[in-house]
Amino acid sequence: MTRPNKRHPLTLVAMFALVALIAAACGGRDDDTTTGGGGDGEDGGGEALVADPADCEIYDGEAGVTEDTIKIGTSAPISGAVAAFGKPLAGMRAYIDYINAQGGVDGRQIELIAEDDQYDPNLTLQNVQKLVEEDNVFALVGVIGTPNNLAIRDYLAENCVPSLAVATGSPKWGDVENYPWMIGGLPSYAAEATLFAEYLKENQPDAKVAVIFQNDDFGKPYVEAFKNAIEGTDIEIVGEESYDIAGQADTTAQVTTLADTDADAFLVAATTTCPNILGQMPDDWEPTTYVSIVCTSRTLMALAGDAAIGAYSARATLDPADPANAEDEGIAFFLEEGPKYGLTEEDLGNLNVAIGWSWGEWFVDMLEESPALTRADVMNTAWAQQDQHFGVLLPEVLVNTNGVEDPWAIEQLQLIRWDGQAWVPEGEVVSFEGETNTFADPTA
Amino acid sequence: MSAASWAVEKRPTLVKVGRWVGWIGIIAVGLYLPQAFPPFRVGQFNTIMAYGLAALGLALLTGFNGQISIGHGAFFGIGAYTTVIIVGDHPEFPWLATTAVGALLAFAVGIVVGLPALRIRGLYLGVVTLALALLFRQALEKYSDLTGGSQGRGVPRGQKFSAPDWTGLANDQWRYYVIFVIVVGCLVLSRNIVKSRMGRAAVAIRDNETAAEVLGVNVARTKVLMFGVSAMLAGIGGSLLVIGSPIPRVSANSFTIVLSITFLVALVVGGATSILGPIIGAAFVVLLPEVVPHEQQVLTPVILGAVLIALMLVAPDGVVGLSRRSASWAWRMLARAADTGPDTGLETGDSSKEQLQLDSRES
Repeated sequence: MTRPNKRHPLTLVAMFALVALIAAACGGRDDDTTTGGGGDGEDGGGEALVADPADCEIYDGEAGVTEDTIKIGTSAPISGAVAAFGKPLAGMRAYIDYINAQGGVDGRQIELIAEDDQYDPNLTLQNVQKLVEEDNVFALVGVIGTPNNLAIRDYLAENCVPSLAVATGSPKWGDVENYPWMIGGLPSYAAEATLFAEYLKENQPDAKVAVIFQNDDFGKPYVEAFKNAIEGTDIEIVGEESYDIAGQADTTAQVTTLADTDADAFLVAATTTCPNILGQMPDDWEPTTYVSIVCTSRTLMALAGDAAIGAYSARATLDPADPANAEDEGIAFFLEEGPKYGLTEEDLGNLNVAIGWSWGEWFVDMLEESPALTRADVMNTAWAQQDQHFGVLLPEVLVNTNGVEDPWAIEQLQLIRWDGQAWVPEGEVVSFEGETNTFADPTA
Repeated sequence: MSAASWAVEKRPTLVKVGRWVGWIGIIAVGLYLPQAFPPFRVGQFNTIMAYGLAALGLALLTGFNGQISIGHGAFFGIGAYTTVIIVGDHPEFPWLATTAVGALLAFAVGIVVGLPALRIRGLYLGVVTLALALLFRQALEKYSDLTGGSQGRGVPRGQKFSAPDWTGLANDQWRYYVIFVIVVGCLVLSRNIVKSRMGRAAVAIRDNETAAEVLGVNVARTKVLMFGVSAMLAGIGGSLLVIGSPIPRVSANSFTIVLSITFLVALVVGGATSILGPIIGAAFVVLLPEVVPHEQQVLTPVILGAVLIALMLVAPDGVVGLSRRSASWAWRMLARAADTGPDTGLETGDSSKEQLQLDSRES
C-alpha cells in the first residue's frame, strides 16, 4: 500500500481560488443606489433637519413607494421561545388591513412584510437588511426588542431608513443626536420609575425602598432613574438585588434578603418573573410594591394570585379587556373594527395586540401628515408631532415631539393598582412632557 | 468497446476528474456569487459560511470521531466575542488577527471540554456539552461588563472590516472574499486531517474504540485533539460571523442553545461524514426561512423537524451521503449495462471505512 499522494490537489484548488479572487477583484459591482451627500432640496427646508439625509452613507428617499403601494416592514419573534412578545404584530396587521380597505394612504395600499427573528439580534439585523435591500421597504414599524433594536440602529442610521414606533422602552431611544432614524413607541422605562418615585415622595416621604431588578438593559434604567428621582429627598434605598433572566434564575434568595431589610416600599423591575417575585414575598412583609409596566398583563397578575393584590404599576393605554373602558372611543373602535380584519376574541382582550393596532394607526397618521412621501419627510414628521392621539392611548395622553429637544412620544403615565380582578387608576395622569431624557442618560 | 464498459474501466480516473471538475465548479460559483447578488444576500452567504465552519467542526467530531457535542454554539460564541471585544477595545488590532486569537481560545476551551469526554460517552457527553451551551449564555450575562450581556456590544460606529481601496470591491464583497478564502482553507485543512494519520485514528476510534487501542492508537490524545480542532473551527466560524456583518455586534440572545442545535441540524442535513456536507447543511438552515411564506414563519421549526426525521429515514448520511449512494448506484447500473460482471467494489467518495482498513494495515 502506497502512501497517499503528497501533492494535495486541494492545495492547487486553493491557489486557483486566490488567483481567481484577484481576478475577480478587478470588477466591482455596479452601484445603482443613490449615494447620500448634499441631500436633495425637496426634503430640506432652510432649517436644520433632525433626520438629515446628508448624514447618510446611502439615501434612497422614495424607496418602496409606488403609484399604488407603500411597502413597509417589521421584524419580530414570530416563532421561538418568546413568540409571545410578537403579539403586537397581529394588531398592526389588522389596522393596516383596515386602512387598505378604506382605500389606503393617498390611494396607496400599504404592504406590511413581517420577518421572524426569534428574538435573536443577529437575525433581526439580517431581516432588516433583507427588508431594506431586497424587499425595498420604505420604513420599518414596531420592531420588537431592546437588544434587537440596538443591533440595527447603526444600520438604520447609515442607510437612513426610518424605524417608527420602536417596540421597547429603553432610555437609549432618546439618543436622537446619534440615531435620528428611530423613534420609540412606548414610554421610557425610566419615566415609569420616576412616576413611582413621585408617588412615594407624595405619600411616603421617608420611605425605605428595596429594589430588585433584572440585570440587563431592561432592569437597570429603572434603578438609575429611581435613584435620580429620589436624590435630595428622605427616601433611601435600603436593599438592592438583581437577577439574570438567562437561566430563568430563582429569585427566592434575593427576595428573602430584601424582606429582611424591612423596607416599606418595593420596586420590582422585572419582566416575566414578576409573579414569582410577588409570590416569594413573605406574608409579614407588606411594602408598597411597584411592578414594571410589562408585568401588567392579566395573565401574569393572575399567576401571582393574592400576592399581587395591592401592587402598583403604570399605564399609558387603556386595557381593551376591561369592560370599564368600553366607552372609550379608541377602545370601541378597536373592538368594533378589529374582528373584521382577522383579530380573534383572544386577540381583542390582549393589550399587546391593541398596542400594535395603535402603532399601526400612529404610523398611518404620520404618513398622512408628512409633506411628501420621502423617508426624511416622514422621519422628520415623527420628530415634530403636535398633540397627536391614537389607538387605545389614555385620552389624556398627547404625543408631542421636538427632535433632539424632546424625542419621547409617550410621556404621560397614570399610576394603577391591582385589586385582584382589574387595574384601578390611582390619581391623575402625570405628564412628564419633554422631561424623559433627563431621567436616565440615553447615551449610557 | 461500448461507452459504458469504457466508463466502467476508466472509473477511478473518471471519478478523480469528476471530483476536480466539481471542486473547480464550486469554487468558481463561490467566487461569482458576490458579483451577482445584493449586499444583503452576500451577508447571508457569509453567515452560511460561518455556520458551515461550526458544522464542519461538528462533522470532524461526530462524523469522523463518534463524539457528540450540543455545545458548539459556545465555541462559536467564543470566536465571535473575542473579535468584537478585541476590536472594540483596541481599534488598531487587525480584524483577522482576532480570528486567530478566537481560534486559539476556542481550541483551548475545546481541549478542556474534551478531557471529560474521555470518560463520558454518547448521550452523557451530549448532556455535558449541553451544559456548556447553557453555561456560556449564563456567563455572558454574568460578565456583562465585558460582554454587554443580553443588550449586547458592538464596535465603535463606522469601524468595520472594510475593503482596501486597491481592490475596487464593495465592502460586502471584500468581506465575502476574505471569508471565502479562509473557509476554503479550513475545508482543505479538515480534509487533510481526515486523510491524515490522526484522522484515520479518529475513525478507528469511532468504529471500535477497543480495537483501535489494541492497534496502538493513542485514544485519549486523538479524542481530545479532535475536540480541540472541532472547537477551533467553530471559533473561527464565530469570528467570521462578526467580520462578515455590516454591523459587527454580538448579544447573548444570539448564543442560546438554539444556535448549537442549528449546527447539529446543519450537520445532519449536509452529512456528518463529509467535508462539504456541513456547508450545504448550513445553507439549508440559513435559507429555509426564506422559502417559508412570511405569514407562516411559525412553520419553519416544524419543517426543520420534518426534514430531520425524513433524512434520518431515507438518508442518514445527509444529502452528501445520499448523492454518494446515488452515484454508486449509477455506477452499478453502468456496470450492468456494460455487462462486465458484478460491481468491482470500488467506492466513490472518501469512504472512511476503506480508510480505516488501510490505517489498520499500516499501524
